[in-house]
Amino acid sequence: MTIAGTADARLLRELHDEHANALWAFVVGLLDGDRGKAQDVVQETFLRAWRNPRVLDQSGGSARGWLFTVARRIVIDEWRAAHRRPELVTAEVPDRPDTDHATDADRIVDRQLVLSALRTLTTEHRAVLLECYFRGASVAQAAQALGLPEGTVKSRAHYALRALRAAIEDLGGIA
Amino acid sequence: MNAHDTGPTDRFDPADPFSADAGAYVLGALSADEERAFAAHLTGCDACSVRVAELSPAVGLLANVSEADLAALDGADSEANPVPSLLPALLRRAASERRRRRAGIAALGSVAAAAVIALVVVLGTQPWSHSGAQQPTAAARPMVAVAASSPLTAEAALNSRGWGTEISLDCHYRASAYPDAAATYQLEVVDSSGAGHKLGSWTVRPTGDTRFTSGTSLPLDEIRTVRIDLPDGTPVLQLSR
Repeated sequence: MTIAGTADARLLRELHDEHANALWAFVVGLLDGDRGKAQDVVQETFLRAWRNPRVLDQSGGSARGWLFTVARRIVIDEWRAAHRRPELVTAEVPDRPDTDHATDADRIVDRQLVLSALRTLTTEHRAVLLECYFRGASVAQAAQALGLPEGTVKSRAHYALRALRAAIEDLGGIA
Repeated sequence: MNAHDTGPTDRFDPADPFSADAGAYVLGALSADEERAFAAHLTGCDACSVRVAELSPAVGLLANVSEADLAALDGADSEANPVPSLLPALLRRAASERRRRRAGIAALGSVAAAAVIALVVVLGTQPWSHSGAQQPTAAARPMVAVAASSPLTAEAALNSRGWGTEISLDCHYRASAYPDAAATYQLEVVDSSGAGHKLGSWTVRPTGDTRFTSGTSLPLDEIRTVRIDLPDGTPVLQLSR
């Protein structure tokens, strides 16, 4: 039996075409480049959306935020399961159960979310952030490096930060 | 997704020479003189203070990544990590899951299957399909447009229930006006004291009508107005009792 041409296939194809690239980059980053695992997680995320398509309608237009949140849930649950197992074997009782793991997990998720958000920015916006934030350039130095008027650097800095914040919110927000 | 914000702090104010400085300020990129001047300006300018408050969290976010990360986004990195074609496997898994579900239903005994059908029939004749008689159902009334030229029309029926008031909306979306757009609306009721209560939101697709049923614990006689708003709170349609 095939489902090509059915409503099932249409929904999956639409989700895939619109979100697979972004979701893939996010999940591969979370899993430290493990493509095999990433494939499982991305597939499972799409299937959950397919099983419950109403969720996508109700998420206020941002299917991507829903997908990102589900994917990150799946990955974090796997991390938890993986961390629990060795503790059972050694019968070790940690003094501060899971806080370190939780903090690590949050840091990894936050990092990948910010990277995913940065991917949605224009290269012009990223270039201004690279100069002014990461390289510590002043507006005048950035203007020289990028060959732009200082006023343009200022307004791009403004809009780049706004866009970054909006993109993060769109992807479901910081953990 | 972004760039649709319409708040006044999203735009620069031609009358305020400092209004474009907030981004550079929170990034620490203003010259020492400019920074001093902007900081002094902030104490008296609410709009610029709001801009700074809005942009600061984004700077905090950047602390999660490195210069190399950012440079890699514009490099050949993404080409080196192509997306595998996930679609064929997805379609296969969806098809096999569908099959299992169908098999599950077919495996039910004929008695159970008959019960399922009976249940469907009962559900199908509940009041919200306008044919049942178990609960009193008020006639739906057309809602009145608040904004001119709204693509949405709706009829609302308010029914008193043991738990409060059930609100059923039949929404018709004039697709020709916005051929591609789905639109999100939210439902709000205003009680007899004038206080608003948000009851949830839903999305209307250009293809066909949408029925949205919601409820509130407010008794029917304490509801003064039922209103449909845009997500930003702009009223679109309303029905007053």
